[in-house]
Amino acid sequence: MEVKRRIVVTGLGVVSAVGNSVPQFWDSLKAGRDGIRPITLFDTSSLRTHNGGEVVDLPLDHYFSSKEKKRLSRCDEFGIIAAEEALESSSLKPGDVDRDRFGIILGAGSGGILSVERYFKALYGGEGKRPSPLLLISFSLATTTDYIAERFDLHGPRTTTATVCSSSSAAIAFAYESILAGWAEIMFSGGSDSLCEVSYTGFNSLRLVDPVYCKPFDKRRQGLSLGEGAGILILEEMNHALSRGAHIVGEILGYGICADAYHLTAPEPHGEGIARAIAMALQNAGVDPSDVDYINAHGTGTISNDVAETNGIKKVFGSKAKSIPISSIKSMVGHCLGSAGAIEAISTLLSIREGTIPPTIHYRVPDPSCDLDYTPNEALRRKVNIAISNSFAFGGNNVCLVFEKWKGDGTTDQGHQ
Amino acid sequence: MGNRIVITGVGVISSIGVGKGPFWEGCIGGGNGIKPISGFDVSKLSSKLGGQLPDIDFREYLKPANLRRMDRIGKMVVSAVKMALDDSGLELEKENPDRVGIMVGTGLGSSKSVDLYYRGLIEDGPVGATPLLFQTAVPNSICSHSSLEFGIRGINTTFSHKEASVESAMVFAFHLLKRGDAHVIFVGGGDEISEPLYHVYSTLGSLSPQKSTFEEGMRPFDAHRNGFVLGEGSGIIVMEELEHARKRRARIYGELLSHGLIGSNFGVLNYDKAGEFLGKAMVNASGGRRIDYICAAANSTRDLDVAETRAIKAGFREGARDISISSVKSMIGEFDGSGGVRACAALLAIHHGVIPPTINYSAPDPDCDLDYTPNEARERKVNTALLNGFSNGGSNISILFGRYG
Repeated sequence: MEVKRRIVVTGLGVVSAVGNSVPQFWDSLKAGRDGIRPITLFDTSSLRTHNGGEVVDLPLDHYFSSKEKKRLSRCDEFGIIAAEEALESSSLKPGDVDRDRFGIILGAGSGGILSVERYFKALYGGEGKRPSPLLLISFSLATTTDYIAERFDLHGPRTTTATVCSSSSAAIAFAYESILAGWAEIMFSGGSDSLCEVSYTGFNSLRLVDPVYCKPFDKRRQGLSLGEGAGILILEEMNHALSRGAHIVGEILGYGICADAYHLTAPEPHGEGIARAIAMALQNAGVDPSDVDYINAHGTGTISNDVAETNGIKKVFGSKAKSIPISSIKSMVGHCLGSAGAIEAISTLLSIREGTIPPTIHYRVPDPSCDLDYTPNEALRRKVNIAISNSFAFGGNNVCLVFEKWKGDGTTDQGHQ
Repeated sequence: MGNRIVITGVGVISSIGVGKGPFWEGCIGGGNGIKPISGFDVSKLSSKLGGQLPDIDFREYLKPANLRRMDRIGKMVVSAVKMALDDSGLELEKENPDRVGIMVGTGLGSSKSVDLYYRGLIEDGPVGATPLLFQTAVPNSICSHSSLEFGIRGINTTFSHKEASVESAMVFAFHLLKRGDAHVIFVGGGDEISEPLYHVYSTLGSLSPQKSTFEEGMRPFDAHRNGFVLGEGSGIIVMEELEHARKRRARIYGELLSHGLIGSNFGVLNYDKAGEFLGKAMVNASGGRRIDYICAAANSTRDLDVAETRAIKAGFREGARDISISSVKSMIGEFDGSGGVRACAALLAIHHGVIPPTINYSAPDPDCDLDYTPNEARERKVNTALLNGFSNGGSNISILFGRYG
């Protein structure tokens, strides 16, 4: 019988409002640092809200020539910087892998729309100047994926997922499948996204943004805070990683993806679709619900998401739900849309490796309809063997990823049929 | 090995025909969907043509109450899903809804909604931000509309990777069905022409070495080609696990046999290098089988027409001349999510034993010297057909369909 291939994570890279590298990001999460600050990228003065998880202090000159900076969107820059860090942390050397078997699947949200906005603003806004067509290169959501592939000369499977709030989790799922199916040995995965006016005003128009900062699972919550950044992971077939002596961060055991088929933007309130995605993921991973030690929540801080997610978790875990620590790092980095799932997957893997669960910050007033353990305000030291990460998108598009601690020798006692 | 996957339904909305019958008549009749752009002003742009859809009364396919929540691309794709569903004879109420999925590819999704939304914002400030437009502006809204319309609760995802968007969805749907994660997945997608999208292509086209003017229409493989014309449309195929299809005695158009996926990066275009990569995708997909038909990606740009020709030669060597090749894009134009429409053409070619032509072909190009089925459809038994989705920038996917039985 064919042995099922196992897929491990061997490299991580992050750009976020609380840190532009994995160590900075992780220190901030453990310390419960708040990355939600006044937006400077565009004018928010006539809007109801003014804050977001904007990325600051990015050393662009270190990475890009002035020529590159002209054609790269902010989203491309985030993605490339995170990919550089992920590749470096993987210690992959050029001869380590067949280029035809090294691919990339990223998730996208708004993509380079910030650049395209600038173009059309100049065009429609009648500012007189003809805008640079270079701003339009970013109109395709595949642009960041292609730039990273070009930079590292990848010839393996390549595509981009576009489910926005769950995109980069779906991208990780399909990159995992690409290795599982034997089409590749190594895949870049994750996602990148930048703040832009379309998404910022759009979520505002739907009254889904908290005027101050998001407070996931708190009774006072009024909505999400938008964020931006990139999370890039290097997924690798286990034996490939072992044979080159790679440092393994953790293992991907499986995933679930399904649809609520309920509403165009709101989640199904009882968490029925969310529960199906989690149950599907655990079944796919061969994990019993009783073995899950931590849930990295979608936890946007919107009134409907947090209740639906709580209900969904209760449906799957029953009486055990109250004893599983849950946290939403969106309370610190904001909702990064196309990169949210990837940034949270990285946080989840770090929790597993380091034995620390980051908190849900700004949590003060318990909500009777959100009555689980959301790891309020203080990080928790806890051994985490198996953890899941949830991502949900408009249209009730639900994704759940399952990760396991790496035991160091390629053998585990959990999660494999 | 896993399950065998067959195609049991097709649904298509195109500029050469709306619905399976009219579309196929358009294909074999060499219909030309390319006309002067209507609906917005192109006088200041170098390009004037487009493959726009005729006016369609979507109430023929969908309930008026449900149509109200959809924008145009939503209506286009959901109607194609409805056609494919009806064509397949599936009764969704009898299916386990968790084992029915939808996977869609689109380049821009609702670019018209994004544009209207953004214009409102520029003209009126934040009060011009319309929530109804924003919720359809996200690229996955077309998938969400479909899952809502038909109660599809299983795998649900959207790919957006330029000209390989729909082909990406097909590859992963195939993999999941083979493993048994679902019984049925609706796969396909589409794109629409909108003013900003047309503006973007036209503006970026002027950056290309061809100084694309779009003025002469689509002439893939022809020496007088002059860049591509933007088109629009939607196409959906019903991919189904064979035993499931057999049990309900479904009509089978063909089988999805395998695929090839290769990335490529070309700072400066090198046809031989490109041909090597694209050829690898086709060779991986064909797995040594003899290929009867290639539903080409060629889009009337010198880059792709020549690269694909080199690839076919590199991949199939002396066999290359025996393959019937055609670019359906000659009739419908080029758009990112064209893979759904073109997959319908490839499957109908297998089903009817007729190869659709490459139209507007008059002047042979010495660099494109294979059999492109010029101007006239040709009868030929098609046991195997490759569908190529080669994206500008480097995701190259080739999918092999075969006759079933």
